[in-house]
Amino acid sequence: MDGCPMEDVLRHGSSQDVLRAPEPIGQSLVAAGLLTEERFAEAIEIQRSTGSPLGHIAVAQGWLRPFDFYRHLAAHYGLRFVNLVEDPPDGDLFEQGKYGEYATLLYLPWKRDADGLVLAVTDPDEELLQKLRQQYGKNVSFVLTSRLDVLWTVQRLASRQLALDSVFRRAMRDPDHSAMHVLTRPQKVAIALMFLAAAACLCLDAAATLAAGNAALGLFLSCCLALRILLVWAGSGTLYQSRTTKEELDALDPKTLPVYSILVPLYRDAAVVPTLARALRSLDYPKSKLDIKLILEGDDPETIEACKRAGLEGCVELIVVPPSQPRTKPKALNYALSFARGQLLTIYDAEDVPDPDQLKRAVLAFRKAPWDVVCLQARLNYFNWRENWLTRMFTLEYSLWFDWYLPGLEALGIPIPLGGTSNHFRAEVVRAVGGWDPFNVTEDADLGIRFTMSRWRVGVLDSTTYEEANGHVWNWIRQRSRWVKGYIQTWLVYMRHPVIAFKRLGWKGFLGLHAFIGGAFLGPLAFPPLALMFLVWLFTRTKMLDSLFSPATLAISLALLLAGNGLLIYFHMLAAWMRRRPKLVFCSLQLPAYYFLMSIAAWRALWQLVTKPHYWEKTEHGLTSVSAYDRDDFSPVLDAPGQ
Amino acid sequence: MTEMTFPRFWTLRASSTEFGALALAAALLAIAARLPAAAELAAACFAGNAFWNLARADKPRTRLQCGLSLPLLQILSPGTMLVACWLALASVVIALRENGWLARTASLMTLVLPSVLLAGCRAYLDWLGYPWPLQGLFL
Repeated sequence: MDGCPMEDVLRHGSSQDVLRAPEPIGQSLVAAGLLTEERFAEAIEIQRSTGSPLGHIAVAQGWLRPFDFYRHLAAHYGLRFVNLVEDPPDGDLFEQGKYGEYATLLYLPWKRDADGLVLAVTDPDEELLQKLRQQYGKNVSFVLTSRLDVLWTVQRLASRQLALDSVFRRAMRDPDHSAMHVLTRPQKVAIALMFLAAAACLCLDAAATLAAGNAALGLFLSCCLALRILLVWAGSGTLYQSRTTKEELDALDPKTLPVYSILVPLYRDAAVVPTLARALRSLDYPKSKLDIKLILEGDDPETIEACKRAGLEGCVELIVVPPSQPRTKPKALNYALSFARGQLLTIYDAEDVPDPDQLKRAVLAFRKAPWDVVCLQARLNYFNWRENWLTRMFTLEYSLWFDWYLPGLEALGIPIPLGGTSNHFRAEVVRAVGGWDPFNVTEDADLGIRFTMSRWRVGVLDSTTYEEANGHVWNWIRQRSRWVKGYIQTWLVYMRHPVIAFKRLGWKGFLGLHAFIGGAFLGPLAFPPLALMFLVWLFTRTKMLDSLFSPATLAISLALLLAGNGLLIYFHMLAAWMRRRPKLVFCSLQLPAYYFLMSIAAWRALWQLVTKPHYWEKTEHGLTSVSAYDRDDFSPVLDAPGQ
Repeated sequence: MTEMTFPRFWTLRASSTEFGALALAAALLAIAARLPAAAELAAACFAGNAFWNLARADKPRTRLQCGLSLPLLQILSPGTMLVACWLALASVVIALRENGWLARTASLMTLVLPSVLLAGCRAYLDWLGYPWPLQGLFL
């Protein structure tokens, strides 16, 4: 470090001198031939509008190699530049509880020399240096390194600890609300007692027991239907209540935009990386304020290679999760959460194509929302809906779920089970609630309910993310099995302490949770026996089933069969119509066949819950022949203001 | 930090959407209270409000309200059944505003399906030999 004139200043000098560089960094980059005059002028323009440091802008835009920039930055400030790969830090200096801080503030302890501790920083920002001096003492000195060096070093030295954290943090903190154990001991006892009681009743009077079970099922399904009618009514009233208007978006000052972290978990997704890269590049948000993490698995070299080949800009970082069990998306998200620097945070799946202005809309919506709204769920829909029968059915289902049901849940104050992607969070709150449950295979739904249990609120964002609908039957069944299994896991987790859940969710939330989440798995499970009974009766007119149906049960069952199914078909029609997809309106009539597929998936889910409760069935993406950028397929909600 | 709240005062001013919800609630209450005239009036208001709004702008609540209003009118009395017939005709006119026959037919279906469904249910129950449960609604 000898010969570095600023070194003494950094060690002992006044803080003001530290940042005083001989000339602005931009001109210096141009003089060094690292940045062209044109790019420099463009960067200045962006800097005027966003207020981001010029160097960060050039790196984020991909105009400057990060390594060149940081080496130049070090020379510019008269600091020593260290390449942490060639000159690695002393691992003993690392403090276990500070890995997250190293990764987010982008510094780490490098060496200890005769004069004291030497910290490697990526930005000679005075505020950061002061903070570090306060933390480590006045004798601390600094060298400069690149951001990637810090991230790779933290991952190399702390991967084991971070991986353990990402798996067990939630379970250690709140074991009662973790799906690590499918059933707790009291739940096992309760279920055993229920089975015993049912068996005893069957022995005593089989007909009456079956009739009572049939009546109870009918009543529960009626409640589920009633809730869905209410949701559609309430959701239809709020569907157009745009949280953000075009005028507000235009008036948004880019200087005030926060750093936004985007987490994209990828596993065997090499085929969709080009689509993902294009979607991320299309986002209308200053790149210098984007913190994009592609979360990769250590044993997936194809996707890692595909990401490296994609030529992604400097705002994109690769986070490689070491292979470990459970191999789930929430575990990968927890791992990456330690590296996220944004105040706001969102998740996109590999095949997602979000509306370009979605991040800005989320920022605006958060500003306008009450302080306790900590998560906004964007609408999800499919770009390849025309592909085949299954994609059409899937699109119908999503159109109703995200455009009508979720706004309805928000309006009625019922916990919202989040969708797996395009959830926008206040990052600090996600950390505060312990991140995602890595043992729950619908970690999104679990998190949405956990927010409500923690007295936070979840809202719906008026922006759409287009995904690839699963068009292959087996792939679809695997995906749906995982969802249903996750719903059962989630329901079981929150029913471990029903009284606490009732107190925290309120009566509406509590009943809504049963009818919405419970209905989502009990309905498909009940469909095959009910349909079979109906068909047997229809074709044989047998009197054998008469004992199962008292007059009241018969009325309920007939109402469910005729009015219930009819209304659900009608609601799907409305959802298709409001998405401006008239062809799908007619497809709604085929929904009963789709219910049958859902039932197969639900029974498979139940079996898997017993045999492989934490197994994450990976959905294959990139199987569609439809381009995600076929703009004809993008049909915004009819006449929605601000869309 | 706590959210600032303001006392809510009851006002007679209601938006068009709220009016629809109020009319529906009034109709259902009147049916429960066995007040045929009040139920018919409220249902007619509900339907009129729905179709008036739909003629002006196609919004989710409006379309849903139109779709639900027709069966409501169908079940009340022969008088309201007549109104339902006229509104079904209005649905055809509204659907004709769309471009192309696919969109027109789809639009019509989203307006009249509940009504068709109700008729279908009745026919099915007749075929099974069960009594129509809404037969003597005000008896």
